[in-house]
Amino acid sequence: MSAADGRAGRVRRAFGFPASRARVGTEVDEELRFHVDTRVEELVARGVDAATARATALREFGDVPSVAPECRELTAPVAGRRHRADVVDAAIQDLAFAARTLRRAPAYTALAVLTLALGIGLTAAVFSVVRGVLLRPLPYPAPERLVRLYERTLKSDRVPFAGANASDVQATAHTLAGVAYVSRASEETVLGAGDSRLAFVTRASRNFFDVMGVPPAAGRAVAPGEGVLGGPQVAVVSARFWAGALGADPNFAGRTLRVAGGTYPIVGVMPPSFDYPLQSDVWVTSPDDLPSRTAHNWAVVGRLAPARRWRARAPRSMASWRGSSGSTGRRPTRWA
Amino acid sequence: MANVGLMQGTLDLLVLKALTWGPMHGYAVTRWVKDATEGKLEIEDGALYPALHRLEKRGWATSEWGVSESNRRAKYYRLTPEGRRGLRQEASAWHHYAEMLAKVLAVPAQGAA
Repeated sequence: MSAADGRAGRVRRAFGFPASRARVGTEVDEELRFHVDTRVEELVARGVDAATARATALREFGDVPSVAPECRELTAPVAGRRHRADVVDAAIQDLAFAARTLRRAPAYTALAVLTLALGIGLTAAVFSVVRGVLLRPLPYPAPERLVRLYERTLKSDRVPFAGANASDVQATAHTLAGVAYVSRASEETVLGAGDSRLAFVTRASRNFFDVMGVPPAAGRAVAPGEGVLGGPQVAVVSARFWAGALGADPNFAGRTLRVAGGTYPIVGVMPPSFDYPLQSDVWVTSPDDLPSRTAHNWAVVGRLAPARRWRARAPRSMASWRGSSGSTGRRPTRWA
Repeated sequence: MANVGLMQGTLDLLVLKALTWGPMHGYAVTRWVKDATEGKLEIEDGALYPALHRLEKRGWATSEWGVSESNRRAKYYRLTPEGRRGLRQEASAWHHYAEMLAKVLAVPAQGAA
């Protein structure tokens, strides 16, 4: 076998290819040659001269040129099968050897196992965070067009909105298709859902669910005329609150919640995926009846208008709003 | 009756029978058959090797390279359990066949005696 042959054989073995045709051929030839040679030796031992012995042996054998290919044809699949068995055997031997080696060095093994365990564990943990935070889409339609707005002051770049400022943005922001404000979810006593209970209540502008782009799963959202100053105020509840506190009541629309002195008929139940602000059980409409420029209590969310409109109007809206806030006598705050 | 011609289908049977004596290379198989039949039956070498390879392909025999009596590399064939079972079946089929044939040939010709 030449050096090149050996290399090819190693490559074949490494990738689990069946024995090459060439190797099967060589083996058949060797097998047949052995037969003829043995016969020649036998004849020579009996006193026949070498040349005659070989001629006799070949004659007895018959048609070597046709026998060899026939054998080769028959053997090729067998050789492949045996070769694969060899590969598996070798792998098992290697594994056993590795296991013995590791057992002989327990400290090293422990360190290696620990390293692998930590590495895999960390990777899995980081990936689950990445998936939750970056990869899983937000449960709102067109989430890339939703923005959180903040006021900027001398002291901080990110301050929640004061009510009057939020109203100004609502009235003048042409780059935004909708602007809603919403309070933090705060734990308050809620009456009207079985026993009096503590629940996370969020106050929101009447268009909050429209801006988020999520309609209630059951019932309806805030209707025209509701949630305005002097008009009726309503409540929308989370799926969790509906299933728990309201006992999954299909007639929730006839019930009324009382929160901090106000009464709020329940009009809708949000889908389970909707959880903003986090943990909210009940959203109640809240017209800002005391607009203030100093009480920075509102989170403002906006939905971007189509891009073309945004570019065209942006400079004017910024300018006009800056002017109005300047009239309060405070240092101008800007929304970004 | 000197050298009996080999009847169709008997070659595999002879090879299997030879291998019941232990692993053998092809040359040893021909020698065994010659000895067992006192030289009256000779396997044609040109047919023996395809038969051996055929048995291996069927899984009735396995092969392995070993060292011969003359200290040379030789391919040894060994009977597998399936081969042993196959031999039993074929042997009984042949016995049956031979008996039938003997009976038929023993029937006296019509009109005689």
